[in-house]
Amino acid sequence: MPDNFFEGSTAAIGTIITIALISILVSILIWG
Amino acid sequence: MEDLKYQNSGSLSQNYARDFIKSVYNYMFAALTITGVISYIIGTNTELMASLFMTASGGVSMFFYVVLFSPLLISFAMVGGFNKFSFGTLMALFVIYSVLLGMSLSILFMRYSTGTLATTFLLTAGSFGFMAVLGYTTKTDLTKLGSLLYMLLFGVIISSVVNMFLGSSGFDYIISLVSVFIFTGLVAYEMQMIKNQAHQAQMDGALRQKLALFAGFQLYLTFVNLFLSLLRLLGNRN
Repeated sequence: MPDNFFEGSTAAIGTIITIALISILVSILIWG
Repeated sequence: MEDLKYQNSGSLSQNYARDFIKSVYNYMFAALTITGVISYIIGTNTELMASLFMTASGGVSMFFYVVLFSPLLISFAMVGGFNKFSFGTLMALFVIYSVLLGMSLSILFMRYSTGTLATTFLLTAGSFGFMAVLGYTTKTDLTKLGSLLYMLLFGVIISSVVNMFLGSSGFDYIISLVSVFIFTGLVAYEMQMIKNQAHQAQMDGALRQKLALFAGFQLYLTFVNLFLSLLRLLGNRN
């Protein structure tokens, strides 16, 4: 368990992945 | 006397943890409110939407693409500048992100009825609440599950992009179903992480504030992703 919520790279990478997915999902919902 | 001291420090730590979790949820709800209000205002005003997102020829304007993809830059800034930036700067980025997301989600009002959007929102809120309670109360360590879910999520991104070109509706259905499972699992994982974080009382105030904001931001992103995945899975287009 990382010492704080942010030290583990999972949180950092996870945030970027989830934001990227939001953009993709919106694109699919609009144009898909 | 010793017992009393122990009890006091125990309840102090409980209060500390409760305040942290309360802040996390306040940030999450604030972001959801900003996003919801902005998307509703723009989405229900055809003229405003057309002037913002349409070109004179009826196509999608460049501004819409900026609104849709600029949040990625904000996430890089928030992640990269987490230690460097002040709480105020992170808060400003957080608010800008919520506004931008509200603007891009407003276009969903053109594709889906308000009823569908409202039902999906309620379904999301219900699943989110259930999984958050589960994540908070479970004794099982979900750390490994979280890493696995983020890996699967990466797979979902790749598959979604590939399927944009393939256009297979069966594959789309499977991806949507997997996304819903991933995000419901992530809610429980994140909730457990936040709970563990909340009980680390030795952390200094400024860092604690920033962590609460970031945790709220993550829950908010998971909520939005769960909403969009459910909409993709269940939503009937107009």
